[in-house]
Amino acid sequence: MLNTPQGGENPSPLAVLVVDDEPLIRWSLRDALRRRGHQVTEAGNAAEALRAVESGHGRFDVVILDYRLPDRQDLTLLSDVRRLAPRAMVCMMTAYGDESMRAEAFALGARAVVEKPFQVNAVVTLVESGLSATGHSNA
Amino acid sequence: MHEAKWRAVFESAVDGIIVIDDRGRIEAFNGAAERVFGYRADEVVGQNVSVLMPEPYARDHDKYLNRYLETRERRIIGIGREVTGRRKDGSTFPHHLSVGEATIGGETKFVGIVRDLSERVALEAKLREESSLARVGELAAVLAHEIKNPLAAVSGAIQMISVRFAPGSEEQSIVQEVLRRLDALNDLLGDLLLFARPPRPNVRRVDLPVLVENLTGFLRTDPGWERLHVEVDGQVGPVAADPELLRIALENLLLNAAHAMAGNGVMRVHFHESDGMALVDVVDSGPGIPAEIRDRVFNPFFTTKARGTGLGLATVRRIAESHHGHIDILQSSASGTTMRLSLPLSR
Repeated sequence: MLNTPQGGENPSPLAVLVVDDEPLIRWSLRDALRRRGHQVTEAGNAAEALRAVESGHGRFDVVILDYRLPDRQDLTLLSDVRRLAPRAMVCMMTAYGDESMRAEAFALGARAVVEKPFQVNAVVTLVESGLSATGHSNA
Repeated sequence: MHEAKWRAVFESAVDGIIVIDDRGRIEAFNGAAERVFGYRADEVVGQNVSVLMPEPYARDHDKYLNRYLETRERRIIGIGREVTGRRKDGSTFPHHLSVGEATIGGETKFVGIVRDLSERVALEAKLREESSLARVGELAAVLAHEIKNPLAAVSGAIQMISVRFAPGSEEQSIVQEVLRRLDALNDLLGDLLLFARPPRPNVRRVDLPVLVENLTGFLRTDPGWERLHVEVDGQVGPVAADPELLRIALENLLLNAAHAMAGNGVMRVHFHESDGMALVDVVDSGPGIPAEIRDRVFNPFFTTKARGTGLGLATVRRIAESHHGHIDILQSSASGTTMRLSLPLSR
């Protein structure tokens, strides 16, 4: 198992918001993303996430969002983030995902749904390639 | 009514009718009773009715009868209740028995009406099992999801700790081992979830031989199974099934057979059709399944393997049933076992 992202060359830095109430998940994603040169902001619940998005003024390229947070256990936070930061690509994370939840998340504008547990670097690669796919150049 | 008419009524009754005298001897035994108990009337008429009961009821029946004749205290006579009967082949079955008393020419007779409850009791048992499986499934699903979140936290942190160790260092190899254990734990949770909440089949036309060919091809390339030889023969039309669920079911069946043979010998997969069903027989040359555990091998968490979860065959059954099919042990002896997966043919 390789634990460094496969991309080789560093991409242009992305501003990433990581939203999860589990500090170890935030730490591992932050660590992996920073190693690739990206800027990471963290939020431990929905309220913090919304504050970060609102004060970010469209700064975030990517929001990595856990499905279950202490103050939100549904997809309404995804809708709120999409409304407040329409430019940001949202990647959902979930340990509870089923087909209907995935379909609904995509319908609400999520670009990816990642099952927990995951390969941290696969998420980093997904984040980088997902943005290039939408035309936000990372070259 | 004439005797002939009474006889016709007696014989046409859907329920079994048994007439005994005051010493318990059978005097009449209608056609329905013959079907229920497996005896011909001429085999039981003249015998004590206790021949139709398992122990200890058979032993005590004369006593009950005598006590009733002395005390007139009713326990079943004039009432009726659920009792256990014994067939000619020795098997027992539940039935409802109501007993009436008649005096014919000054002699006391008892008329028993027997209704076989085997099917109803079996259906009730199946419903009870399904509802308890559903409860176990719900609990397992909740647990599996709750475990996945902290597992993701530990796994993610370990992955990023691992990059801090030099490639080839002892720490690095230990950390990789830890990650492999976490992956295995996650696979186990996946198996548990698949069993607990199998997804609704996304049905398409599936060619079973192609699916099995892919799986056996995979087995052939696995060095762990290099002494295993798989023969595939027969023909079968396409089935209406979810290809991914079916792949999981067949993989479990083949792996189970391979394990039974300790990875050594000839396994045969035979396709055929019968009554609108596609049949896949998986024949191993293992030591067979002991008779006393045969009815438990499809139960969840039942395993004979030291490291098994007991979910493999239970999942096969769940998947087969979700496709309106079934899985059966066709035969099992010291020279091997045949498992049969039956699935409806695609129309």
